[in-house]
Amino acid sequence: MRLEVRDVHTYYGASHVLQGVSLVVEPGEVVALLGRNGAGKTTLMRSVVGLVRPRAGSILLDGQELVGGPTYLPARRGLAFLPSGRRVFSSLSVAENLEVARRSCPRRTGAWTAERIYGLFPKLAQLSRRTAGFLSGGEQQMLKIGRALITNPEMLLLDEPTEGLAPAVVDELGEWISLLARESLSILLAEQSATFAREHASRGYLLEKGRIRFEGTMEQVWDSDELRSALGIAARRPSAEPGAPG
Amino acid sequence: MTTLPAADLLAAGRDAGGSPWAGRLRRAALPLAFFVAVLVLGLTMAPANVLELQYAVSLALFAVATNLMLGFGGLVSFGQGVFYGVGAYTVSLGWMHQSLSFSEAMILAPFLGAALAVPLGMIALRTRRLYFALLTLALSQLAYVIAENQTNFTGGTNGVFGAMVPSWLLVPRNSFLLTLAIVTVSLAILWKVLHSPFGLVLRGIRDNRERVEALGVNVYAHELAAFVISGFFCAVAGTLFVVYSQSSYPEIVDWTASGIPVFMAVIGGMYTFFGPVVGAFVYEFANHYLIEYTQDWQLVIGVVLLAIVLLRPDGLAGSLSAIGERWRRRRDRVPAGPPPAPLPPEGGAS
Amino acid sequence: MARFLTEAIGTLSDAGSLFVVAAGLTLVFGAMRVINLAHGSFYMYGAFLVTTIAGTSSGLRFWVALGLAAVVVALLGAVVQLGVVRFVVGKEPLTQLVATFAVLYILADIGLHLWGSGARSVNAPLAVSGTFTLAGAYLPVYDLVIIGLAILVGVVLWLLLSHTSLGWMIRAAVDDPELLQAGGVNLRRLHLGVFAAGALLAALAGAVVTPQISVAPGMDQSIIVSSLLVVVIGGLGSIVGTAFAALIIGIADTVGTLVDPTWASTFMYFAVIIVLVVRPWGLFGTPER
Repeated sequence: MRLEVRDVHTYYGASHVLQGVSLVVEPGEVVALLGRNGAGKTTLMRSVVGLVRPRAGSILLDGQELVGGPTYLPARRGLAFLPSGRRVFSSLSVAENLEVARRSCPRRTGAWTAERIYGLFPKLAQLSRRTAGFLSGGEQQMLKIGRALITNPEMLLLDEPTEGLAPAVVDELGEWISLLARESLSILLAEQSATFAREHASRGYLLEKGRIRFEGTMEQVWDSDELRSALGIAARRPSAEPGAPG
Repeated sequence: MTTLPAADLLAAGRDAGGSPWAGRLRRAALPLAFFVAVLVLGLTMAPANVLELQYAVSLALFAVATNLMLGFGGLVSFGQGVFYGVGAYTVSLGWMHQSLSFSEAMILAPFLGAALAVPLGMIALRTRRLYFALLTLALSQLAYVIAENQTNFTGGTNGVFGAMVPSWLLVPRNSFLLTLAIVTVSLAILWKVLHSPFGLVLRGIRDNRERVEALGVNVYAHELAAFVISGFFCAVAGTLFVVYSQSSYPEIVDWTASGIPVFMAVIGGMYTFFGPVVGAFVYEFANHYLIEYTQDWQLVIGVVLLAIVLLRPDGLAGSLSAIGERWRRRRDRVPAGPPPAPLPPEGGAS
Repeated sequence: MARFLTEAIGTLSDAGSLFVVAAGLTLVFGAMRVINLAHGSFYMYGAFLVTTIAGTSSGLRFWVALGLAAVVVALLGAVVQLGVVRFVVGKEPLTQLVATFAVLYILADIGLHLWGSGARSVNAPLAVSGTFTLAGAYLPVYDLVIIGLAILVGVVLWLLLSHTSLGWMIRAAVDDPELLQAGGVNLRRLHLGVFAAGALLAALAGAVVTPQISVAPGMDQSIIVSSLLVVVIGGLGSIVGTAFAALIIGIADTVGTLVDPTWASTFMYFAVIIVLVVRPWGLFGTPER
């Protein structure tokens, strides 16, 4: 699945949040969207799935226009959005969460079933009757991924998946992302943490104040001065270089 | 120190006029013209119509007093009819039980309204937003049920009718002038209150409750004070109902009666001081003439309310100022600025 | 004992019909966060439609009228949702209250044109009219019909919300409507269904009480007040809370009448005030986020 965002402008009230953003995610590609808090990463994702309406520009999913269409459409076409934070249906059980997600896109069938998701996350199987609001942050993260996978998506939009997670869980999350990438899902990964993105993405975009400041392969982005200035990282010490996470 | 949004607005309004006197005069010009127009109309109209004008004037106070909480405090009360009723029934019952003279009752009633507002406000302000609206609605209905069932004390369903006002007030012009005087003084006081530091804090609470709380302001005390002041002036408006109708009956306190000043504020525009005044005049005259000419007054009022709330949430005053703004812009040939009324980003669920 | 039974059955019957109306109101609030002041209009329309359809017959036609009235009002509910309510979802409480109050006015006016301003009455089918005796008390059979309907509605709603995926979806809409939408659910259609179902419940209650009351204009405004009291006591959005609260209101009313008829109708208001002072979000509600 291919996503193309062309010159999108999005406003919240009078404030001009996205000021002409363009980017492409090719089929099977993992692309990072980097930027500070407030740069517009979340707004871009919300624009793609139609939770906010861009005032201008075009968003194409496999060539079909999403702007102006209903909010439920992208998911039914195979684009799964995983918002940041603890966004699960908190009064439903784990199993009910998965079933609601599956029923939300009834026509999207495929390899991912509740059984296979429980296979991937045995912890969820144990907790299947637990109310989702009482899960830990890591467990909710599993449930969020499970809710997305059960719709058999072709593309994932991950908004700040590492936010607030313990380092061990972040490593686990990285493994799941690699696994999904091997299944040739396209992934757009919004991150503040450049190190996490560097491990998993092949290309990256740097978003600053609603505009794309830099784009290129992940190595180019990593080496760019723009990245350091945008994320406020001090000049990189050579010793920290060999891919040390955190 | 952070300034509140409302404070910025007010400061901007103050600076715009050049010298403080010019600004004050400019701001007072429209209300003054309105006052003179009402006065002249009242002194020249046929007596039957004067009564209607007088009623609209008294409702204007009811609407502004309700809007003190609604538009300025962000508290949606469907229970201000309680205090309106306290005002009206104090005069009527004082007469019926021969315990109060007319002038004693007129003076006592607002203080009774304020006194009752203390416990009711303490109860109602335990809740927020929708629960507050529904709880005040329940209080209004409770007052209605009491007025209706305590027949020995309140006259029951029929209410109290009779010669409860002094004979000089039976002359339409006199009762009109008394009403206009009381309403004008009351509105002047309410204007002062809303443009004092207290009013600014109140608006700050409406705009951003958490921020005001973080500044160390006792939000609850300010809201309770607003409730009490509103109760005071709603009771004043209630006494004027007796001056108008020489009666009190349960229907003036039920929840739909409590809804009327809210609707007036919505129609006229709840974010301005004089919006509810406009709303009261429009509502009352529409109501009066609709009942005369059509059976379908509920239909017409319903459609108007719907149209305003869906298309122009800032009411007639908002529409007027938008038209004025457009006209001024055309005159000054200033290009259009950013679009108005930013909506909160997390609002829409549909 | 006989006195107690008579009062108990009467109370349960009143609480039952109140529960059915209020359940519709709270269901709509739960899924859509909208308080519909025109909910009472659906109740009134249900009642008037039964008087029109059933006429003076007291047989099978009454039951047909009951079902037909509920369905017609559900369609009316769909129209109100599409024409008005969907524009105020997610807006301020004031906007919602004023808009739905406007609908109440409009429907009241149309109702006057359709059915006039006089009172109407309907006879219960012979099979369920009259009384039966239990422990020396003469009890109206029809009260049992109302109690039965209330239990049926309660059970169906409970099964729907806790055991079907449609019910989970409605609860998911309460938790996080945005997430649900982004997940592929047509939220507008879900709202449409829920609102029509709410209207149907109101109409069903209005229809089923017709043999016991005089059907007249104004019943829309009085029932909305009692059902608001019920949903506020129970906690907005909670079906279980609504059932409890309907009983509380019913009992408060009965006890009030026994203690002092002139104060009877104030008892339920005091019940509301006491509950909200102790728990400002109702018995089974959750504090507003």
